[in-house]
Amino acid sequence: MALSRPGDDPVSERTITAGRLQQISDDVLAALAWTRVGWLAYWAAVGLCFYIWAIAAAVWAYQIHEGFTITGLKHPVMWGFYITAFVFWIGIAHSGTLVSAILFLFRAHWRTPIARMAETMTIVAVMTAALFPVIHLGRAWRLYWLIPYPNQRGLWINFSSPLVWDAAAIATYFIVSLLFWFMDLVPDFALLRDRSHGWAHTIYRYLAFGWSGTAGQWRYFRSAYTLMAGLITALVVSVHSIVSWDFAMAIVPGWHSSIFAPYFVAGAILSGLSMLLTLVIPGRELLGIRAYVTARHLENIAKLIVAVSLIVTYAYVTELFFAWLGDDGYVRSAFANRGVGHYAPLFWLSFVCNSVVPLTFFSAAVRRSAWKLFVASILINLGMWSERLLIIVSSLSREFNAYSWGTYMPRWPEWTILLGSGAWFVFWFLLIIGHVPPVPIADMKEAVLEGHDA
Amino acid sequence: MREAPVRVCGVLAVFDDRERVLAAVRRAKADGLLRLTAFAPAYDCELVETASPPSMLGIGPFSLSAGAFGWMAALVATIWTTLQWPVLMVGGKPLIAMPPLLVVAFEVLILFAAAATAGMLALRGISARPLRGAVYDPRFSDGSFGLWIECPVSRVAAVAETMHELGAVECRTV
Repeated sequence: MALSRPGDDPVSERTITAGRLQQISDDVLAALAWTRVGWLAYWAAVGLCFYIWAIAAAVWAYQIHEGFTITGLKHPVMWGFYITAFVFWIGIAHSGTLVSAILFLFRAHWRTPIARMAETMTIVAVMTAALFPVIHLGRAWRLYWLIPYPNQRGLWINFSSPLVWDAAAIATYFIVSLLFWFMDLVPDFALLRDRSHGWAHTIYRYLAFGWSGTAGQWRYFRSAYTLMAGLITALVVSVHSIVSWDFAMAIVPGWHSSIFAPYFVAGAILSGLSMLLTLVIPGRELLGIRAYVTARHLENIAKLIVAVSLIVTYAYVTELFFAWLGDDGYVRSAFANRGVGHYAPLFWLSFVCNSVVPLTFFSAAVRRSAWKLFVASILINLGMWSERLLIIVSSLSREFNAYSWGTYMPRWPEWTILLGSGAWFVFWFLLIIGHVPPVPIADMKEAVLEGHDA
Repeated sequence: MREAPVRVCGVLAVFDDRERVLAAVRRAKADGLLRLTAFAPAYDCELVETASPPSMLGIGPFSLSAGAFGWMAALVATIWTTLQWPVLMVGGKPLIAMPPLLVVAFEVLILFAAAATAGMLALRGISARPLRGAVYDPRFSDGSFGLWIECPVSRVAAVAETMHELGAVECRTV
C-alpha cells in the first residue's frame, strides 16, 4: 500500500502513510475488542482453567495435610512428577526467549508477529515451573530458608548446592523476562493510552511511563532492547544449564554427564517451540490475527524444530555411545535399563516423539498444514515430558546398590497437580494475552517503516 | 501526575508521511533551527539518526556498571555468608570454592544489568513527561509523525508556513 508519486518529489519513492500504520493498530487492537460470543467463550475458558487449578490447589493442600505418603514418592525415587514438571515448564519458557531475543539479535524479522505470544508464554511457564519446587518441598512454608538473611539458627545458604544456583537462576530469569516483555509493551501501552478514555486511560497512562515516541526515546529504546536481548540470551543458556546441573553434579548413573548442559538447553528449546505452536495455532484463530501470524510463521517454527530436534537426537546418541564405550558398568546398566527395562515405554515414546515426529517437518505438506503441525506439537510436548520423567526416574530407581532399587508409579495427587499446572499455565496465558496487544504493534510498524517482510 | 506547563515557544507540525517529516527535519536543521524533537509511531533508524544526536549518556556503560556491581556484590555476599558458617559440609572441596560462587555471581550480574537497563529507559520516559502535555498529539502513537521546532516568537509564523509547504497536515503554534 506504499504510495509513490514519481517525478514531483525525490523522497517519496518509499512513502509510508499514516493510514498504513494506523491499519496495523486497528487490526491488532480489534483482537482486544471482544464480540459477545467471543467474550463468553474467552471467560468460559478462563473460568474452566481456574476451576481445574483450584481443584489441584485443594489436592496440594490435602497433600500438605497428609504428607507425601499419599503420593507415589518413596525411596529410592524421591524426585518424581513434581521435579519432572519443574524441568519441563522451565524448558517451555526457553523458546519464548529464543523467539523474541535470539531471533531479534539475528535480525530474523519474521519473529515479530509471534514475539509477544512467545514472551508471554515464557513468563507464564516460569510462573508455573516455580510452583513445583514449593510443592515438592512438602513443608512449603519453609521456602524462605532459600533466602539469605541473618537468622537465629545461625545458618546461611549453601551456595555450593546446585539447588541454590537454581533458585538464583529462576528468580533472575523471571524478573528479566518480565522486564523484557514489559519493555516491548511500553510503546503499545502509549497507543492504548492515546486511544482510551476514563479509567482505562489512567491505567494505560501509568503503564506507558510517559512514552511519547520522540526520536530520542526511540534511540534509547532500541539501545536498551538490544542490550536486554543480549543479556537475556546469555541468561537463557545459563538457566537451563543450571537446571541440568541439578542432575549432572550428582554421581547418579545416567545423570553425571558433561553433555547435560547443551543437551538440556536443546531439549528446552525443542519443547518450547512445540508449545509455541500449540498456543499460536489456535490463538491466531481465536484472536483474529491470521493476517499477521501466517502459515509462513508456523512453517519457520517447524523448520527450527527440525534443527533443534536433530541436536537433541545427536545428544541421545552421544549419551548411548558414551555409555557403551565407557568402562563404567553402572552407567551402561542405567542406559540398558532405559531401553529395555521397566521404563522402556518412556524411552521409546520420547525417542519417537522427539526424534522421529519432527522429521515429518521435512515434508512441506506437513509444515504448511496447521492441524498437522498442531498434532505434531502435542506429540513433541508429550515426548519431552517423557524424556524428563525418564531421565529423573529411571536413574533414581536403579542406583549403585541393587538392594535399594525400586520403581515409581505416580498416584492421583501427582496426576491432579500436573493437570492443574497445565490449567494454571493456560489460565494466566489467556488472561494476559486477552488484555494486551497479542502482536507487538510498534514492532510491526517498524517492520513496515524499514521495509522488512515480517 | 499532572503535566507541567510548557514555557517554550515553537511549532508542532503533524505529518502523515515518513519521508516528509524527514525532509522537514533536514530543512529545519539547514535553517539553523536545532532545538527540534521528532515523533514517530515506531522505531525508524533514519529518522532517529537524522533527528536525534547520540546522547553522551548511553545506556551501555550504565548497564555495564550495574552488572559489575551486581557481580561484586554477589561474590562478597556469598563469600562472607559462607565464612560465617565454616562448618558447612563441602565434600572435600575448599570452603570458598569459586566455581559455584561464580554461577551465582553471573546470575546477579545479569539481574542488575537488566534492571539498570530497564530503569534507565523508564527514566527517559519520565523525563520526557513535562514536554508531552502541550507538545504532543495522540496521533503520534498511532500512525502519524510529528516535528516540534522550538524557535523565537518572531519566527513562529515563518516556520509554520515552511512546515505546511513541506507537507504538514497540521501546524500548531505553542
